[in-house]
Amino acid sequence: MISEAGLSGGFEVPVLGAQAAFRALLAALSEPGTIVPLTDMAEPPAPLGAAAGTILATLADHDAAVFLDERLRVKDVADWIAFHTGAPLTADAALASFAVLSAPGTVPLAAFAEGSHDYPDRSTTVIVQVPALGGETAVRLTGPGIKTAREIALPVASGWLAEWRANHARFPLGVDVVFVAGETLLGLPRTTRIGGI
Amino acid sequence: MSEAGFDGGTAAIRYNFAYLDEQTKRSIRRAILKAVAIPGYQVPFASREMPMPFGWGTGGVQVTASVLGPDDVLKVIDQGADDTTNAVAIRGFFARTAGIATTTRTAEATIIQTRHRIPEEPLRAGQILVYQVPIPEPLRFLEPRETETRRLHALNEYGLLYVKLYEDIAKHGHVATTYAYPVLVAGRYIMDPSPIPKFDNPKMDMSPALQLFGAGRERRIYAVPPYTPVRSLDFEDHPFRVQEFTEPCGLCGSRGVYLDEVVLDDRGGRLFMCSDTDHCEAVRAGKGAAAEASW
Repeated sequence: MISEAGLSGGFEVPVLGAQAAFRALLAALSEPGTIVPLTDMAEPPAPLGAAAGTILATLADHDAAVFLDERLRVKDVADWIAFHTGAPLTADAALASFAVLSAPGTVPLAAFAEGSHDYPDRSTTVIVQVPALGGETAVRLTGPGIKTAREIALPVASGWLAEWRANHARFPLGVDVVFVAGETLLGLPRTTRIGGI
Repeated sequence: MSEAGFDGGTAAIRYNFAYLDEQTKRSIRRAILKAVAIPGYQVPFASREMPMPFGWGTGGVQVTASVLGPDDVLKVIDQGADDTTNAVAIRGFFARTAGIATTTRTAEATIIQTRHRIPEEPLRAGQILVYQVPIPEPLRFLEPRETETRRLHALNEYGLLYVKLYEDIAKHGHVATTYAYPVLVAGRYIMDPSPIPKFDNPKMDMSPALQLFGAGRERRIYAVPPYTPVRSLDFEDHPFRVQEFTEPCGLCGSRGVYLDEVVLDDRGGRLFMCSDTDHCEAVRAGKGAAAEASW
């Protein structure tokens, strides 16, 4: 049976909540590296974060399968996604439209769908939960959406940057990443080049 | 927040906010995000039947409907004009189904839906320009098979387009393509900028605004993120050039803007005037104010 936690915690006003969240995502992916605030939040059960849940409530449905890493694969979360989005869960990372990771690197980026040369859009959008959108590694971002260069700190270890460079090198194939923390998000489309400072 | 802020028609029949149902919006939103991540690549989407025929901007309307929120201010232009049938109808459609504010001023708009022009006033960061696109495939008239054009894009094989431009030069001495002039986006995909005059092509390059393209009948969405290089195809010895007009606008006197030719009578009388009506009105209003001040 579906759990109590699975039934509650959707958008207060689904139509407008999803619209606002989509615009935040659109801003995050068209201006990579900027920290974009979310306004209306969904309230999914832990360990799924509020921002990750908001993205799923906005974009996931029966046409878009969701992958969860091992720590997130709990009944309450599965129930919540089933009730609020109707999206099928998949254990195969390569079949997912959306993936949520409880931390950077719990599943390698190369495991997800990268699209095909004819249809590079058929690729996974990877949502990565982090404690805060700042932190460990100072980087310099360049690419579409960035006027000259954007210097930020990414909440990842340097090993993850090597994964990202491999992902970027596959362009036009590759995954797109959205880091989420609290009520904020930061986008890294596959076009973004990460350099060191 | 409540949904009571808009009146989607009569009290008895109310449309969902911005007309489209939520499942359609989700699928279009997913397509838009992938389009932004792969600049210039055409993402297929499940285009819906809209309450207007294909060819009247159904692609642009679906993109706008999926992006639009209650705080947005919408401007719609048809060949630069705010007051022609297509623009008036689409503006009215969203005013009625989404209850949003509309404007004719480029600077005041957060979303501008356009048919075949980019406004003269430079766009700013945060604005979204939504193009209505009839034929999204720049290779379509050179290769009719979708399977083949898709493969040509995949292989980055754009020789055909250069041959087409070369044939123009061989025949006419210059590149005769004047609208829907193909562009290379972020160094990878060649894109049809929709039938804007090539005069507008340079405005796409490194624009601070987000540019989204919707083709309803052809079921494709594509995008150019802000600050993305957009280069019009050319040759070293035949560099890309835009149209030039010898006369200024007959109404406001602007130079360096795109002009429409208007036939005034059957004795050869004609007027060249700004295609961008908002720009033309703003310049005339400014001159009027200046004249009053100096009087």
